[in-house]
Amino acid sequence: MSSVRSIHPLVGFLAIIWVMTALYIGSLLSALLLTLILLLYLISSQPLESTRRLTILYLWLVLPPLIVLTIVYGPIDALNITLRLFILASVFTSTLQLMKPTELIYISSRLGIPPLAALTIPIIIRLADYMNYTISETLVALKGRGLSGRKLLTSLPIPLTAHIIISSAQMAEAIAQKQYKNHTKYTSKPTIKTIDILITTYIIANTIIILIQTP
Amino acid sequence: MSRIILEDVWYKNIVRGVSMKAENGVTAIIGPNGSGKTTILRIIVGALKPDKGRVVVPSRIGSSWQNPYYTFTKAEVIEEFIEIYGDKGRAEELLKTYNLESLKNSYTFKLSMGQARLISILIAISWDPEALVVDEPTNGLGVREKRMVEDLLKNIKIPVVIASHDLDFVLRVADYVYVLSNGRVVAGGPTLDVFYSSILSVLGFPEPYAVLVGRKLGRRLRSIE
Repeated sequence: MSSVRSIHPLVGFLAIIWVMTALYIGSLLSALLLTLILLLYLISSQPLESTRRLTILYLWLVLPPLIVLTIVYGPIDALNITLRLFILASVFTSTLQLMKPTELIYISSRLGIPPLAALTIPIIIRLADYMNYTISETLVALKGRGLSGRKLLTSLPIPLTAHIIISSAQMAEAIAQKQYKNHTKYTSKPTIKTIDILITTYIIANTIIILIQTP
Repeated sequence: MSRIILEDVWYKNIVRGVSMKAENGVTAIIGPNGSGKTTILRIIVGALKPDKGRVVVPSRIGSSWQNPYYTFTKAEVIEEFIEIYGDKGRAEELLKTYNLESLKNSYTFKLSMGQARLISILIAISWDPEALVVDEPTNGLGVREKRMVEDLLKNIKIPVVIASHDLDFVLRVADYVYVLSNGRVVAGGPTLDVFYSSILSVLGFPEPYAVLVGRKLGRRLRSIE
């Protein structure tokens, strides 16, 4: 799950904010392009198996709403909404997986955020591709208590969410205890890399274009 | 009478030609790590489809797995049972029967592993299944909880299949034992017969304490009771 390649945490958060803003103002294409750049960078930095699991997760995330929304609103609106859903999920998972925890703690400690809080969110995201396995385990456990059909599906998010949050918090606590107690010693100062410059340039250029086009 | 029958069941390279039968009473599957115990339980509940072989199981199987927290869907313990019974009185009665009243208002996801496992097994039997499957029933249990699970499993009048590493517990609770090694059943039969055979030492398993003491005294246990 650990990535060899990484992005600067500030650039990562900038990318998240920018994509959300782009979606808000309707600049779907530029948000999608940045998301794809981040996703490609993530895929190139992780093992093939992680990419396979992530793809399955995205399919689970995107296909059911696409089918339901196509029936309810028609294909164009369904595609529009599903694409936004995909962009949002992708930008969060890719940026948070691409940030190095040591660099994230370095930034957060200077903002007064406790290491534990700073670690929990990226760990939740990093556990995302492990969720597939957890989903099947949870489904078996819920069937074992007599749930089936609609009741089974509506109950699924409860143990699943609790498990993800509890596991992430426990993991963050373990890591924080082990390494980040003394953040001045164990954190690392983020470095600016080519990918950071590329993403920042892309965001600035697109912002300028949008501002020029805005009457 | 419901029963569980597996005939020449194969699943990938994990389960290789397993045949076993479980009727009323407790049937235990023991074996080293990675021998296919949990996979067999998953085949029994229908979570995995075998590549080959015949599986006969009842339609309603309760189950409790290694992570008991996956079973919970409510905030408090009592709410779990109210959902199943649709009646607060019956839910409270059940907890009282098992001396678990103190956990009534405990948050399910904050229970200790042992308490969570106990509640998870209770939930699994509360919806009136025709068979029960429990994976590693004693993991994380204290002495008191272990005794409670033991009493619980021994008094259920449906086929119960457990997979466990805890041979002392298996000796106390199981009527039949199947020993797995590399996905194959290498021994099977009444619990004491299996535990007095040479299979445990062949697999490098320590003998259950009661069997060991009996052997030292030159006696063979007739029954664990």
